[in-house]
Amino acid sequence: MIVRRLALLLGLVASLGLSGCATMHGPSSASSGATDPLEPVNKPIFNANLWLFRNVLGPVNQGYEAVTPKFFRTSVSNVFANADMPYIFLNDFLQGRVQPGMEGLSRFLVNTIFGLGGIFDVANKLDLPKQDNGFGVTLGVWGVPQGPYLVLPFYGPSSLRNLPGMALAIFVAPPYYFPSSNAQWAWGGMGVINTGHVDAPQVKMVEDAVNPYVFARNAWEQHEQFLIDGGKVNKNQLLEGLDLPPTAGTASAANVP
Amino acid sequence: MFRSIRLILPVLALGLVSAGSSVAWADAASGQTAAVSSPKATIENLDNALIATMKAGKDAGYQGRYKIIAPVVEKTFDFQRIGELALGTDWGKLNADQQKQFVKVLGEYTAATYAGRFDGYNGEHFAVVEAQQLRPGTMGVFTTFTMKNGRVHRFDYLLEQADGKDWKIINVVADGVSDLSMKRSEYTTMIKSKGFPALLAHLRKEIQAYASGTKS
Repeated sequence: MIVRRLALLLGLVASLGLSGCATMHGPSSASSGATDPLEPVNKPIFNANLWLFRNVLGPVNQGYEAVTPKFFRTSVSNVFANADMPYIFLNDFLQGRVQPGMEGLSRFLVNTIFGLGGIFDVANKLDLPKQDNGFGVTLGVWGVPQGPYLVLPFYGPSSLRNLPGMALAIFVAPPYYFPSSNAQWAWGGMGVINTGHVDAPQVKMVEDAVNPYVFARNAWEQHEQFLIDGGKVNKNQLLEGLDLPPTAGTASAANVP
Repeated sequence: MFRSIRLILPVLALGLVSAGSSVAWADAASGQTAAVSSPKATIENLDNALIATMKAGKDAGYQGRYKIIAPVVEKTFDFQRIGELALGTDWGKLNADQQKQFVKVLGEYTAATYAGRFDGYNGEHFAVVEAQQLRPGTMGVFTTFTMKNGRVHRFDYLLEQADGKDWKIINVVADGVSDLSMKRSEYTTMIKSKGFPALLAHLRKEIQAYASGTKS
């Protein structure tokens, strides 16, 4: 049973686009690291993740791309993306967001049935794109504070509020219901390879940032808050930077209509 | 690994920063003294140039795309103001020459990013949803970027008008991620740990990487 759980976890970590959760209290706090009291622990893990990607997943991906045709790699990533969908639309419903939940459910059904288990992304052609979501976002919508920002080994940016979502994801994802642990291990292994393939450009972007750790943390935290806000614009966020030195004192974000 | 930020990073590439080689940067928008543009027109001007850059695609090469986007980027962004805000108290510690260098590099880096990353068109389109005054002299323009598959991203701009001149962009918030916030936190951390010359060198290296095709 332990092996089965490990296989599931491996597969999920690799395959789920778990958009956890995090609160961003504005540019100033994000930049000051007010939500990152664990930076001394997070940073070495972040660097280890980058090292791992650069030295293990990167070469694996090069081999993967060398021996497989593009349509095969696209199909694989489609299948893993489709497997994410139950977790995504379930969280839409838990957040009370019925329309995106129905769209997510429709996307999953269309791709599972007409896309042959998700191999073909038919829903994309029907204007049913994949959206981001996660149980961390749900908890944020429910008012649970972010807690400290975390960088998890092999996974990347997360937060204390995000951790329960990883457990939930195990039970919601289709691999949990696979009949054998061998199938789950195979799923997990393929998920790792797919992750290396799909994430490579984005990891390169993080590596190229002026400060990769700060870049990844701020981007993740701000986007999480955006998801919690239902994709609505925080006008205070637009203005907040204006009150930073040397132009402080011109006006307050509270004046936003 | 980094799964949770996978989806937002392409958006960052689109909404944040922007141009490639330094060719003719300084001359790109000189002599542009047309009528004062509205905030909405400023954003539409940028969006149209981005679509043109995407449509030019790989056939135009990096330099071709740069020539399309760079003049518009220089005209629509206020890099002096962005530099001040991004560096905060560090801005005042720079001498006039350093400030000038930073503003120039910031503009080139922005245009390089757009030219490097916007190398293909697949039916995407922009739309201005709303323009709203946030406070005197400051406007918010809220826009969407719709992919071919129907996925909609938000790009929200903050613009300022100085001395009755054109409205210019000073911040872009892409799907909730503030460019100004990102710049400020990254740049000030870099200056604190390695100094201003290291920041300048890093940005120049990135510009060169886009221009040489080793980065996209």
